[in-house]
Amino acid sequence: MSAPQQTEAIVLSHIDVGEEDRIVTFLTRDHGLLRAAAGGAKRLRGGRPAVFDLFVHGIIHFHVSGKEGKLTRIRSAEVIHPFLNIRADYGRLCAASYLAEVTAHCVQEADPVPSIFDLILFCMGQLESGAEVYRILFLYVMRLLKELGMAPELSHCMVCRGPIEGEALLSPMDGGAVHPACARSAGVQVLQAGDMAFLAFAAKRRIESLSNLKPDPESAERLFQALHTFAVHHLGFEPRSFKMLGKGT
Amino acid sequence: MTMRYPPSLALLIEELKRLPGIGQVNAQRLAFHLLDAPPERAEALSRALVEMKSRIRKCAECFSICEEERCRVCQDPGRARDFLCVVGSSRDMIALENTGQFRGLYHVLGGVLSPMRGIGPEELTISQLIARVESMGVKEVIVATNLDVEGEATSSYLAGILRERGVKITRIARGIPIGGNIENADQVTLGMALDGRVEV
Repeated sequence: MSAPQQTEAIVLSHIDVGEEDRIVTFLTRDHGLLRAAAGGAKRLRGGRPAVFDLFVHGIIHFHVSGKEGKLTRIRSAEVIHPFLNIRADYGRLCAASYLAEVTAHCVQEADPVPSIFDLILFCMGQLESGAEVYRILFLYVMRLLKELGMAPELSHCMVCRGPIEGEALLSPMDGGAVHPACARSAGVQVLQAGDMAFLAFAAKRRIESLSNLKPDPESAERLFQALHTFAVHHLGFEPRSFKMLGKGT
Repeated sequence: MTMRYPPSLALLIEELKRLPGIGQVNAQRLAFHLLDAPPERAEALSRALVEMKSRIRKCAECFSICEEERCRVCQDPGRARDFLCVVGSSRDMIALENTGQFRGLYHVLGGVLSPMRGIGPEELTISQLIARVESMGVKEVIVATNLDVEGEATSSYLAGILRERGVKITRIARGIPIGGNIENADQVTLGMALDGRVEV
């Protein structure tokens, strides 16, 4: 058994095992994705189920045991922020679920990416505080693609190399913006001139200043849809929660 | 050389492994237990499985499990038909029914809203719940979904759509379990216990 360790973590998903236990998938600041057994997590008395609930941000104390160090067990945990407002609104639950699903797909075990940890925490905080859902989703996907080195090229047309001015198409196949006349593949998303300019501007901003960026709701939804299509192509993954966005909110 | 199980035993092990929480070792243990048991024991298990699958259906009114057209609670003329308790699953309904505290009717949603598992409002019996509330003259709907993120979001969603229909919506209480210690409770539970305090 390894020495006890601790890290800041956010719960991305969990599955119930047996009567009282859970396998919890955390995004941690220091260890990347971490899947760990939380014994008795569902127990009402002394099980502290709230600590292992979805999207809860906290500190976890764990140790690794078993052959080849494959079994991680949670010793204890404390809540830093439960993001209670997310659970009070189905639309926010859908958005938070999207963030969790995509993040779990992009981060590997034992490969910490503190910038992505900060990003999801920032976005959960924004959802908690009532920010417009598509604005947060747009900022998240834009920033995530940048952190993964997959950000779309926006400065010039990916086909003819000419400058992008006015309306353009975001082409996942070509890896960025293309002129309408140059489009040659399916799945391209039309972006108006204002959307393109906003996207190029937002892509250069630091995470701390993202909360000041407030595109109108229609523009934020268009930008998110375009970036989502781009991300699905490059990540090779479509989160289930995407289909739930915008339903019943 | 690797020793292989006879085909019929291997098939049973494979089927047992499909059950939740059963891995290879547990499946082998159960299969060998059944192999060593008297034949009538295995036959009884087999019969119980087939009968359960052929007899159990969903109640036409509340969607809980039963063996008739309507479950015993829905058939009971002594139940208050203007009080509806909404639960996620039949297991939750049975747990609440075992308290003996509730004399109204139930409505089983068949799960809770869970975007990550692809479960939205259309996948649950929400439209049937609305129809029941409107046709039965329900005065109060008690939402008794789990107190986790998805159960709470489901409760908020239901409150939003039912409130428009002029029905009183209540939520089961949240807080410290009976016999629990305050010092051992997490801060979320404690905060909710304070929020939900009652005059004594």
